[in-house]
Amino acid sequence: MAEAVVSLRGVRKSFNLGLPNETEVLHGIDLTLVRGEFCAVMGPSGSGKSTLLNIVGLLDRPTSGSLRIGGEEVNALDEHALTRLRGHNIGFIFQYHNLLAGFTALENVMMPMLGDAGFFNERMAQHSAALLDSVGLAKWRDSRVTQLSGGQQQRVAIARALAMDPPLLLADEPTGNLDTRAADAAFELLRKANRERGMAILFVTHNPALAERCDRTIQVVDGLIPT
Amino acid sequence: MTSRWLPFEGIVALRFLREGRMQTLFIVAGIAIGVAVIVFMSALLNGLQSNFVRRVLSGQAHIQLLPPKEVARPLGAVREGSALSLEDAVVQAPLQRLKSIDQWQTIATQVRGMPGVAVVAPMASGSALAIRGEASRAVSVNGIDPAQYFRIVALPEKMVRGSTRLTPGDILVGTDLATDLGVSVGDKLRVSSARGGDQTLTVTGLFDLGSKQANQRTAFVALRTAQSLLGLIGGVSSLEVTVNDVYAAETVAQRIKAVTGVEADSWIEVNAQFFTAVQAQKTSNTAIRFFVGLSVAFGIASVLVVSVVQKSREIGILRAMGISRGQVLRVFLLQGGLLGLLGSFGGAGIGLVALLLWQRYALNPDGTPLFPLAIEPELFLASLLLATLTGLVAAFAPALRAARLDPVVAIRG
Repeated sequence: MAEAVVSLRGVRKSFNLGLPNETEVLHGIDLTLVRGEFCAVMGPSGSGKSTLLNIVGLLDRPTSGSLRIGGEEVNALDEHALTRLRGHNIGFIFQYHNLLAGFTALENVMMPMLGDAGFFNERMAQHSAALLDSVGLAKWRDSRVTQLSGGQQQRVAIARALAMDPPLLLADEPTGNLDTRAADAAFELLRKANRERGMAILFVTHNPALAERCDRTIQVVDGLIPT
Repeated sequence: MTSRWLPFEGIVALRFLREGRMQTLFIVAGIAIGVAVIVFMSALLNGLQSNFVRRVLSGQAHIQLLPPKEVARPLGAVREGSALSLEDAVVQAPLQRLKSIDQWQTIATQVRGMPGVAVVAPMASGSALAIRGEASRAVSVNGIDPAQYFRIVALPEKMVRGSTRLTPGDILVGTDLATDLGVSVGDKLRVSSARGGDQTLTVTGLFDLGSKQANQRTAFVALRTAQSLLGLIGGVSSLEVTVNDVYAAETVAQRIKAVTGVEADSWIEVNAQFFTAVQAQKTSNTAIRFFVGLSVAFGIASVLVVSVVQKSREIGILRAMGISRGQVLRVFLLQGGLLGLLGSFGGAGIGLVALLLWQRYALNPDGTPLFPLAIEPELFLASLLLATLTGLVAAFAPALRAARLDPVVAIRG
């Protein structure tokens, strides 16, 4: 069996813990993603898809259950170790691109490497330029991201997510805000990264056509993945 | 990417500041004005103060050592039941005769060797009558050793006519005394003291001490001349002392008193009211600096609080990318420090221009500056350092807030 990049066992998540308005959003999720797997996540709004993604992305902690990233149990890790694990193992792509507005496309792609190394070096600039080239934005590398179209911005976000060469990519409706052509282009870039780099991808989408093109689709319904 | 040599935090902090251009510009201007006020005011007040102190101290020693006061002691102790007891004895205050400091040369050597003491000069002074024909004036005759005394009072700078030559037959008189008695350089003047001394001296120079009263009543003669005029053969009525730090004069005076047993009056004690005024000015200067600094700090903090709110989504993104809380904290602390540094550079510049303008346009009627300003590099350096530190401290609360942002909430907006 292929190596598990991420595995969740009985993961529950409640908000407003201990308060009268305590709400459980995830009711015991079991999920394993292996290396090179491209998995679509579908489900109605409010079903817990984003919460699931935030937990897998180590932006949020589960209330109970086990979460392993690259074989490491993360519940026991402190904030600093989590941040490090996140930086090295997980790439994020959000629906609204979420680029740093004051920086150029190249600088945005370079940012995770710069933050990790502490200081700039020429190698990160070359790597970022190559990534921008691979998403078809070589011409735009020195443009402010605010000058780019929505589709282009999303491609910059994909290049940035690939910068640290993480084993896992989390994409939260990355095509939700794009027209069909741009959405298709973005999806193909993810597919390419998945095939060429062996990255596991968790791809939240409302688009059944795109979901069909993934290796498998899981449905999140009311905080559960029905088997 | 410009500023490639900077660490990650520096690059992001600079870019965040550049992005909020207007905001940055306004707060830097605010800090600059605050720093300029501090620089200008400090230099002005320091200049004013040292000018005051210099004027007060240019004509006198910092410490004057005098023989111990004569004290009257009643005969026998006032003891109950004693045969000698003098109940309710009326003790008359004794006359304070002009007398010499006992062992003054030993004391002078001893004081010269004490830390903080710069110059010790002997002086024999007393009152006498200056007579020229029908006219006579009561004067204070000061017998000095020019080599020592001129290091305390720069009499050569105050000479209007003649020279400072003081051989035993010479006398230097104030300009007004010269006018009153109708004498000039080269004329003879008879000086007669109440103790019987009487000498005819040659006027070798006229000086202006800056006060009409002093110019009417002061005369300088050689130490030996004064000793024989005043009946103080071999003695001195006081030892004039200057110290390295004028504000430590009282401490040095106390030490001299404890070691030698002579009376030691510092300028601080003699000019108590003036010294209190100087101290009050210092305190008010510190208070103004503190409150200006406080308002600068609040200005920086408020701008950064707004910036944290504006940048919360970007902070969330950075955190999602694996940027640590410590790095986010440092990004905002650096912004505070940079704002302080930039503002203080501007402020130091504005302050310097204001000071130069003041020196150029605030003039005495004769065209000389109103008073010399103290434009010291230390003041500018201290302002830079203080404003940068204020920026860092002021940025701490907003930076902590940024570092503690929940990335999920921040990204959601």
